[in-house]
Amino acid sequence: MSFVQPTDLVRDDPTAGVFRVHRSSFTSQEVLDLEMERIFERCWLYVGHESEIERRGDFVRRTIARRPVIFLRGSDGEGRVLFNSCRHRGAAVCRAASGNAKAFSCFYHGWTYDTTGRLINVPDESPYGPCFDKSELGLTSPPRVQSYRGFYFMSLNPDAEELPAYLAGAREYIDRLADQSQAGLRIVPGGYRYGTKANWKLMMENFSDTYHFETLHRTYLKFLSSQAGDNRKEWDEYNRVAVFGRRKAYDLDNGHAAIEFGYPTNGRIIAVWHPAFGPAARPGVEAARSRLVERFGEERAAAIADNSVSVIVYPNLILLDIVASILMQVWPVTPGYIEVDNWAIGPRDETPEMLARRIEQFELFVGSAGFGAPDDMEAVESCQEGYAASAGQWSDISRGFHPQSSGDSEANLRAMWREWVANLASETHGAHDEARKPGVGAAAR
Amino acid sequence: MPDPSLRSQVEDFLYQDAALLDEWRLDDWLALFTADCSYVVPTTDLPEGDPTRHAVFIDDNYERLVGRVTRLKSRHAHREYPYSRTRRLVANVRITRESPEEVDVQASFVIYRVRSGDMAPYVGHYELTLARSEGGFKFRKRRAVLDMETLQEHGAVSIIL
Repeated sequence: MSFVQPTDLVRDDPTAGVFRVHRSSFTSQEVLDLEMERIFERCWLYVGHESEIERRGDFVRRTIARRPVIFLRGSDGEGRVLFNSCRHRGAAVCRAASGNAKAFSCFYHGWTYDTTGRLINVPDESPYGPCFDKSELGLTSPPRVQSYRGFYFMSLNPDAEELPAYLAGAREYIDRLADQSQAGLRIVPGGYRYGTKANWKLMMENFSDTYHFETLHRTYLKFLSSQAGDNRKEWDEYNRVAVFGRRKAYDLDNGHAAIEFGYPTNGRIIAVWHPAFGPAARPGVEAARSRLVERFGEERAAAIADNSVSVIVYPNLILLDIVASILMQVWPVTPGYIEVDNWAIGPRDETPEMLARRIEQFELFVGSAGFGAPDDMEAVESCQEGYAASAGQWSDISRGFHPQSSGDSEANLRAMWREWVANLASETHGAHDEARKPGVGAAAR
Repeated sequence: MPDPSLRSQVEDFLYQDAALLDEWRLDDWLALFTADCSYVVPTTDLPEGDPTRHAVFIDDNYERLVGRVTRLKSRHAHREYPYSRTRRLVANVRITRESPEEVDVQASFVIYRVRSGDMAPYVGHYELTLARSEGGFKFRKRRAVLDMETLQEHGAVSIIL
C-alpha cells in the first residue's frame, strides 16, 4: 500500500463508540489486490456441498479465488478439488458445468486424467523419451482441501490451520443447519448466479445487516402481511413488537460472525409455521419441529428450529438461515463489481410438499426476481455509486458499539471488519490470534 | 396445419402483452391472466427447472402475480422505481397445439431493459398456454426460459418477462 496503511482504513474506538470504515476500502484497486493476496489466497474458501457430488464421478466446475477448479467425487469415493488445467499446455480438461465422468480428456491434445486426477493416457507417448513420468503429471489440487459436515472448503495457503479450527464459532451454526435432518442436507437444484456493481464487502454487510430490513423491504413485509389472511392483525403486531431490540450479534472469531434475529419474522420452514406457507403446510412444519425436539430436547431444538440467523463465514460466504436456508457466496471481480452465487439448501428427506414451500419462500425473498433481493442489489449499487461523491468519506458501523448503547448491535459487521483489517495488515498468515474470542453465547460489541 | 389467422390472432395478443408491459400498464396487463394461471421463469443454470422440485426465479400463481404487480406499482420496489425503460421484441411465433379451449404457443423474445446507464437484454423463449375466452385469449401458463448463462450483467429479474 503506497498511499495509506491498511490499519488507517478502519477507525475502531470503543470508548467513543465509533466504528468507521474508510470508503476507499470499497473503491481502491490497491486494496483489492491486497485482499486477493492476504485474504482470498490465505483463508479457507467454500467450494461446494457434498450433495452436489453424490456419486463417484460426479463433478461441478467452479471458479474459486479466480482459479478454475473441478469439485468432484473420485472413483475412490473421495471428495476432491482439482485445478481445471491440463498439465500439458493448460487447457481446461473439464468443460461442462456439471455432470458425471469416468475420466477427463483434454480436448486439445488428448491427455486424459482419471477422477482422482491421475494422468492415465497420453496419445503417442514415445517421443517424450525415457524420463517422461505420467505419475508426476496428474492434475494438481489446491494445497488444502477439507470438509466440515458436508461443506467442502479449500485454501491456497499450505500453512492454513485445520478447517474446524478456522471455522471457530461458525461451526455452531453449521451444526444447527446440518442437524436439521438426520438424513443430511442437499443443495436444491437451480442456483442463482448474478453480477452486482458493488464492492464484495458491501454485499457481505448487506446479507448480515438486519437494520435495513423494515425500511428497504417494506414491500416484502406488506406482501407477507397480505398472505396472513385472518391472522393478519396478529402477525402485523407480532412483527411490529418483535422487530427492534431482540437481535443479538456475535463475534465468532476469525472474522466469522452471526446475528440472531430473536424471532422468525417470516416463519421458518424448519419449523415455525407462517400463514404465508398456507394452512396445508402447517402439520408438516409442526411435525418437523416435534422430530427435532425428540432428537435434541426442547432447548437445542429451539436453537435449531426457531432461530433465524445470518452468519458470515469469513471471508465470502453467508449462511442465511431464515425462512429457508440459503448459502450466498460473493466473489470480487473489480473493486466495484462482484459475482454472487445463491443456493437453497435443505433436508435431503423433506416431503415434496415441504420442499415446494421451501423453494417458494426462498424465491420470494432472496430470489433474483423475489420481493426482497432486487432491492438489496439496488441499495448496495447505490452505495457504491455514492462513494464517488468524495474519496475522503467514511462509512459508519457504530450501532450498539458505545458502552452505554443498548438494543440492536452491528457487532457482527465489526467482527468481519476487524479480521479484514488484521488480514490486510499482516504480511504473514495468522493475524487473528488476538485476545478477542467471545464466541457463541456472549453477545459482542 | 394450423389456421394461419390463428397465428395472427396470437401475435396480436402477444404484441398487446408486450405493449402493456413496456408502458407499465400493469393492472391492464394482469387482466390478461386466468385465475388458475402460472407464471414461471427457471434459473439460468437449469432451463428445464420444475418449480415444484427446483429453485426457479419466478413461480407465481395468480395470488403471487397480484403481489408482484402490487409491489412493482409501489414506490418501494427500489430496483424499479423509477421504472426502467423496456422494449420487448416477440418473434418466431409457433402454434404447437390447438384445442377448442386452449392454444399452446412457443415464441422467442428479446427484452431490453434500460436503466442507470446500462442496457441489458433478456433473451429467451416463451412456452405459453393461452385459454380461449369470450374476449380473446388469456394466459393460463406463461413460462419464460432465458438463454443467458448467468445474470452477470442484469443482476436481477426485476421486470416482468
